[in-house]
Amino acid sequence: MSEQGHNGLENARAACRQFDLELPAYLEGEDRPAVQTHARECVYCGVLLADLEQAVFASHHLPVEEPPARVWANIRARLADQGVIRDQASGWRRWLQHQILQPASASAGVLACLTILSVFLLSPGDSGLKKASSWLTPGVAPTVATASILGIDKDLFQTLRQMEESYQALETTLDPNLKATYRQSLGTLDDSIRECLKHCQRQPSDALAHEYLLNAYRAKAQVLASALLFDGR
Amino acid sequence: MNVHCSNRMKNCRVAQITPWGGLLFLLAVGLNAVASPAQLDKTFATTPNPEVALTNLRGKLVIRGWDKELVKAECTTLSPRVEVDAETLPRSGPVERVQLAAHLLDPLVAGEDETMDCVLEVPHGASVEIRNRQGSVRIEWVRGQHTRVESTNGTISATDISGHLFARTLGGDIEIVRPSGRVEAFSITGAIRFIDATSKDLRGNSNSGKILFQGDFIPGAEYVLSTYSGDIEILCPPASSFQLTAKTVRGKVDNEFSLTPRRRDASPLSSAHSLLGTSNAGNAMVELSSFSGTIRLRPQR
Repeated sequence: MSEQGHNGLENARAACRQFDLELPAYLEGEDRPAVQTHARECVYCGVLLADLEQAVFASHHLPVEEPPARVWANIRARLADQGVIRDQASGWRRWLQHQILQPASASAGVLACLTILSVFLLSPGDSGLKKASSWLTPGVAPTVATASILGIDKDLFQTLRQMEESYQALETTLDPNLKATYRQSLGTLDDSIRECLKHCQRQPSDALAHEYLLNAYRAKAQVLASALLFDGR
Repeated sequence: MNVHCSNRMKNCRVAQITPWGGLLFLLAVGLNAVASPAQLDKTFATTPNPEVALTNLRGKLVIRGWDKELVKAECTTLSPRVEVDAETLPRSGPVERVQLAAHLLDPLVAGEDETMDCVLEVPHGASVEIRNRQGSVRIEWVRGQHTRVESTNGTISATDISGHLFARTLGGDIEIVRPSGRVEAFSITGAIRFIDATSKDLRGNSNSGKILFQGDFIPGAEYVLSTYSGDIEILCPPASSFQLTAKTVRGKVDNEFSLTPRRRDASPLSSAHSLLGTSNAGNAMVELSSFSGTIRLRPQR
């Protein structure tokens, strides 16, 4: 490429960059003659400007709808949580609000993890289920080394721990009645899991007991999913 | 602070209100304003088979099918800071989908103040999806394709549901009366009762709750009931025709029917607590299992 051609290309790119910089202000209605001039000279930028002008035109004809009130409440709560705005409430109310909101946002962060667990535990006929299931039972949680021996992915093991922690964090914010229900359900399932595990250790060939063990783990995964997805707020 | 009565108020007592009294009065007025109940009524003209969804935080929900092509919601909230969002599709013409959701206007609202009781009337052909976090759900006379009811600790009662019924609660009981479509019912600690089912496919599972099945078995239908520690009780007419597979790990099977024994399956069931047999022509398949609960079969007198 000749030096003259190279310089021309560089100049064109510079003009496009300038066009990009001035475009938002132009679309906001400011007087930027360079935008229109460049759009006439550059095919690419001309098409871009035409598309954006069409979008702006169409958007002006869309009906304006008031979002539901909860959207504002959620936005306000989130902004207050992040310290962007300050609540007018008194000190103890602000503290309480903070205590309520923080675990909720934390639980949202681990929803993806929960999904992974649910998929892992709920997939029928997965032999990994038997191996992974013991993680969930307090008192029989395997160490990372054990998990490794069982062929369990270490990351998944960590993920599971995080999910249990997130549930524990959420639990502190739950209504007392709900908390009692979850505790009772999880406690009942933990008892079933312990009993099944003992039975399976004594009678490894008992297919029905294995089936019950897996079902108890599935049920526990569903209870945790319910807590984090349905009752997390 | 003195309160002066006008001369026209004959029975008025002159009262002296202290600053503390005034404060208490204002507090009481303020609390009353916060907790005053509100009535929310909404009606939508729908197609004959709309999808209707309702999500609630706490309260009692009653859903009834009726022969009008209308969805009518009558809801009462304990606090004005609880509101119902209603979304409909399409926006014009008969509605195909109605979505109602209770939500808090103030994130600090908690406990009983979250309560919204609701009576929802829907066309018979509606498919219904109900989520009530805390509180009971009663649903009746709905014949749409799907009915799904979930609660965390509330009881669920479903009567005369003819589509696919899915009911799940963690701590509540479930009662299903005269279902005629596919049924799936799950509870962790609650009991499950099936009364006079005419479904072809019925499944129930509770971890520690009891399961009761009362009524006849339908020819060609399949019944799968399972508990961990809860008992399973079957009460059916002596003439019922079914093939039974009853299995327990540590529980027992208590049968009062005269069954024709079947050869034990070659499956690797090491537990001795099982019973396989046929009653009459064996037209329905009945599969019962429990880890440590008792399975009872009794003829209905």
